[in-house]
Amino acid sequence: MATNVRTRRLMKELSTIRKDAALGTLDPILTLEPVSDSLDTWTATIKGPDDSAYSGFVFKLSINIPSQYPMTPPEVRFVTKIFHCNVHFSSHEICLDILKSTWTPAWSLQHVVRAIHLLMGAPEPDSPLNCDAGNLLRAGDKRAHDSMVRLICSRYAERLQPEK
Amino acid sequence: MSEAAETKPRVKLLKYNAVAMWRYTFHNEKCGICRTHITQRCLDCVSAGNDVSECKLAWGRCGHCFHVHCIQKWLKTTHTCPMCSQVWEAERITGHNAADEDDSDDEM
Repeated sequence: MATNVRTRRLMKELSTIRKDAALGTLDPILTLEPVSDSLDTWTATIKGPDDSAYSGFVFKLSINIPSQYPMTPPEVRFVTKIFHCNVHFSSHEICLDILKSTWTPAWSLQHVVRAIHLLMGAPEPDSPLNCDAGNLLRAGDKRAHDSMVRLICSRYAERLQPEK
Repeated sequence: MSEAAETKPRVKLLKYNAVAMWRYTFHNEKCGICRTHITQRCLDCVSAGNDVSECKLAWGRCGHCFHVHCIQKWLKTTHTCPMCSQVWEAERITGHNAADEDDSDDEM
């Protein structure tokens, strides 16, 4: 029965996402959809925030929906390699409070993806998963940090296609 | 004064249609947990095919409203309101049509 509730709620979320996509209000999310009909795993693509070194690149996320969702948070990680102090450089795991301790069922997958987009633009160097990125920010060397970000982006991330 | 009272009114009111507006006094119209409108059954009850009378609503002191079945599942892990993260304090529990309840706040 629990899985049934989870599926129904995910269906509702998907229809909201589709409505927003049709209205053009999904930005900066480019896509957010289930990988298969089972709705167990989703994938998302987001634009790098405009005012950050990630600007102009596209980042892919994978989302795993646990069996107890929405009582427990979705498991989200980057698919695209990224240099960010709150993202593990090898496992691509994301350190974000709403994905752990402060999750509530009032959040949706769309909220989570938006929160990750905001985290990209506002890194938290005091709880780093990537110590090198965190140390550069804590040392105040934004220039070195941003050039490292762009180097990793240009090697691993896709470039944002200009809108027609 | 007397002059005004003597003059005949120019307009005579023959009939009027009163229009009343109403709205819910809580903050959310959808249950924040199952995302179904709170005037409808929760997803548990939809799955189980329960009647709407079996699906009650829980109103928190913070002004947020959820299906009882939904909030109960959440309160097992964390005793806060999912919408505002304040400590959850249930104010009252009603049926879906609050006006039909014996609750003092919502008497007909």
